Amino acid sequence: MWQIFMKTLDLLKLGETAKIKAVHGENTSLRRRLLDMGLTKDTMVTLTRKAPLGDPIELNLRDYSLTIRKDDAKLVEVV
Amino acid sequence: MTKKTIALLGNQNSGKTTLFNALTGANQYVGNWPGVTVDRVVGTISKKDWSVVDLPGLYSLSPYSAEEIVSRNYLIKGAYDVVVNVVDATHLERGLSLTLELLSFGEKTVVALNMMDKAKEQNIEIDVKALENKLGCPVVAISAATGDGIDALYEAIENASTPKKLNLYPKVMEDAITTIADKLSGDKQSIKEFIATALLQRDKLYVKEFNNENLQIELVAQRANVERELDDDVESVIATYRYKFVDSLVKEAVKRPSKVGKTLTNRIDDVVTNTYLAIPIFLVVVYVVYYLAVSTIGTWATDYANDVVFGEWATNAAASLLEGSPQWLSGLVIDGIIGGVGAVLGFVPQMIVFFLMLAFLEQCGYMTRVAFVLDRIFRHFGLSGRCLIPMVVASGCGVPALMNAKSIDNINERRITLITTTFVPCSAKLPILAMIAAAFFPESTFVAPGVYLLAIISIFATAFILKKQAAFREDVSPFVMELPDYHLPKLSNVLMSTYERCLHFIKKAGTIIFSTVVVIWFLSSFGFGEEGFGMVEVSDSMLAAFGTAVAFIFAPLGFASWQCAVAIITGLLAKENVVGTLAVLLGLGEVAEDDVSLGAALHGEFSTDAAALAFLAFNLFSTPCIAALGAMRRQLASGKMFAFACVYMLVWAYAMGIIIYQLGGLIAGQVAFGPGTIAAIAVLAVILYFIFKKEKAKSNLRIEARSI
Repeated sequence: MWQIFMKTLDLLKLGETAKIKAVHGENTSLRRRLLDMGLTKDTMVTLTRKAPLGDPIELNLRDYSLTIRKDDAKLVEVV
Repeated sequence: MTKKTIALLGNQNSGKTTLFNALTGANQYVGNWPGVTVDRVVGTISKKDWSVVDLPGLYSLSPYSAEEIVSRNYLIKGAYDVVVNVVDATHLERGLSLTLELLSFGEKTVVALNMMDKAKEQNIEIDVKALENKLGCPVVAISAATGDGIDALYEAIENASTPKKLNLYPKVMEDAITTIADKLSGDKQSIKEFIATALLQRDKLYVKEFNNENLQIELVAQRANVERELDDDVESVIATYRYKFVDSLVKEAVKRPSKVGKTLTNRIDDVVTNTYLAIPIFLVVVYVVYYLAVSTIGTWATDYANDVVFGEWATNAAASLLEGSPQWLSGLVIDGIIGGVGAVLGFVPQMIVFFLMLAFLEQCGYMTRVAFVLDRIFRHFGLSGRCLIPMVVASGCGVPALMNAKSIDNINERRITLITTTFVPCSAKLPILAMIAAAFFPESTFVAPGVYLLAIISIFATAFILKKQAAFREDVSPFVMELPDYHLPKLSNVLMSTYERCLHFIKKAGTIIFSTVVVIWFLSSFGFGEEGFGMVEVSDSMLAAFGTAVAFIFAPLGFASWQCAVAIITGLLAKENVVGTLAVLLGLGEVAEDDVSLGAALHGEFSTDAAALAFLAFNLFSTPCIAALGAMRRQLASGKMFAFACVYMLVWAYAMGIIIYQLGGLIAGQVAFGPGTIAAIAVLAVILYFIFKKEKAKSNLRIEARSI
C-alpha cells in the first residue's frame, strides 16, 4: 500500500509561501473560522514567524497577519 | 430631523470603537445583551437625535461565538434603520468579507472606509467610486481618529437606500439557496436567503430550529448537488467565492505600492516576539505595570485616599456634623459607612493607574502578542498568557485585577481567571501573613515564599480542575487570531475605557457593597449587653454569638475559637480587618501585626504551628473581601457562576487548611493520627482525582486531518 504525503500548513519553513488546496475538518467551528478568516482555496499563505516556543505560528495572507496553533494548521492542506 | 437607530459593525481592529467614540462622545451606556456576557454599548449622536448600537467586533456571522450570535440575531430582528460597516482601509480584504455578509441582509448599509489617513501614508490608493459601484451601497472614506469624513458619513446615512442583491456564488449554489429559501416561511426574501445559506452550511443553531424532515432531505439533496458540480463542500464554496468576489473588488479598486522592506509592525515584532527576548520583554512589561500600579503611584494614591481622604477628612467632617447625635448614628456613619465604603472606594486611584496602562497595552496591539508568545505554556491550564497580567496585579489588589479580566476574550479563560485570581495574596492579606510568621516562625524565611508557592499551586490546580468541567467548556472562537498592526492608541479611547471600568466599580460600591458593609457593621456593634439590646463591644455582639455558633466548623483545621471565626468574618469586609479584630478580641487593643504581646496571645489561641498555618491558609484562599467579590460578581455576569466561585473558594481554603493542619501537623509530630488525618487524606485524594481525571474529548471541535 502506498500513501501520498499530504503537505499541510504546519510543515512550511519560515518564510516559505504556499497555495491552499483545501481546509479539512468538515463541520467544525475551527474550519469555519479558518475559512472566514480568508484561508480559502487557492489563497497564497506565507509562514512569517513562529512563537518563541515554536507554536503557535504567524501567517501572512491577504495582506494581513494571522496567528494559529500548529495543531490547527494541520487541517490546512497546501501545495 | 428624524430619529434613527444605527447599527455599528466591523472587524475587531477596524477602529470601530474609535468611530463610536467620535460619533457619540461621552453619551454612552454599557449594558448587557440578554443571556450572554457580551457588552451592549449604546450611544447617542446628540446633534442628530440618532442612537448608535455598537455591536461586538467580529470577522463573520457564523454561529460559533456569543458575539457572532448576538450580532446575527440583532441584524435579523431588524430593529435599526441603517447598518454602518466599519472597514479598515489598510486591510481591505479582511474587512470586505464581512461587508458582503452584512449586505446579504438587504438592509440599508453604509460602508465607512476607516483609517484613510493611514492608507495615504502607506501610499495605498483606493477608488471609492469603484467600490461603491461593485458593492451597490454608499462607501464613505473617513478617518475616525482625525474626524475627517464624519459629516459625509452622516449625509450618507441620511440618504442610505436598500442595496441590490449581489450574486456572489456559482449558479448551482445560488439555486440551492433560493430553493431552500422558498421552503422557509417569513416575508423578507433576503433574510430567508441568509437563513438558507446558513442551513446549507449546517449552521448548528438553525439546523436545530428548522428541524423538519422535508427541509432536511432537501438540504441534503442540495448540498450533494453543489458538491457534485463544484467538487467542493458548501462551506468551502461559500467562503471561497465570497473571497473571490473580494479579490476582484480589491483588484479593481485598490492600488498598493509594491512591498518595500519591512513595515514598522514587522520590525517591532522581530524584537517583541523574538525567540530569546519575547519572554524577558513580557516580564519587564509586567514588572513595570506592577511597579507603577502596586509599588508606587497607585498605592500612594490609594493610601492617601484611605488614610487622608476617608481616614481624616471624611471622618472628621462626619464627626463634627454628627456632634450631639446618638452614638449609634455616628458609629454607623463613621465606622460602618465611611470605614467600609471608604475602604472600597480607596481602591479607585489604584484602579485608574492600572487601567490606564492596560488600556494602552491592549489598544496598541501588544496584548495579542502576549497571547501569541505564551499560548504554548498556558493552554495546558485552560488559560492564555493574557491571564497572567491580572494575576500579577492581584498581588497588589484583587479588585483592579478582576476588573481587568473582562478584556480576556475567551469566556472560559475569563471565568477561570476570575475564580483563581484572588488566590494570589493581595497587599491587604500580607499583615495576616506577617502576624503568623512573626509569632510562630520568627527565625524562618520559608513562610512567605511558601505561601506564594501555595498560591501558584492553587491557581494551576484549580485551572486544571475547572477546565475539564462542562461549565468551563463553552464554545468559543478557536485560537485563530489576527495580529493587528501596532499603533499609538488615541488618548480619548484610553481614557474612555478607564472611565467606563472605574464607573462600574463605583456604582457597585454605592449599592451592594454599601448594604453589606452596613449589615456587618450592625452585627458587630449590636448585641445583648448588660442593659439589654444595644450597642456593645465586639465580644458581646451578635457577630460574636454567630462566631461561637460556627466555630466548631474550624475544629478539623486546628482552631475552634469564636475569636478566629469572627476575625475571618470581618476579613470579608476587608482583609486588613483580620489582624485588628483578632487583636481586639484577644484583649490587646490596637497593636502592630508583629507585636510581641500579640504573638504571645496567638500562642494561646493556636496550640500548634500547624493550626496557625491552617488559619493563615484559610484566610488567604477563602473568598476575598467584599470589594473584590463585587467586582467578581459583575465580571462573571452570572449569579450561578458567582455562587459556584464563592463555594469553590471556601471549599478550597478549607481543604488547604485541613491538609496543612492534619497532614503537615502529623509530619511535624504536632498532631496525632486520628479521624482528621483520614479526612485530610481523603480531601487530598479527591483533589488529585479531579486534577488527573481524563478530559472528555470534545468531539466536534477537532477532527483529524483527512489522510489521502
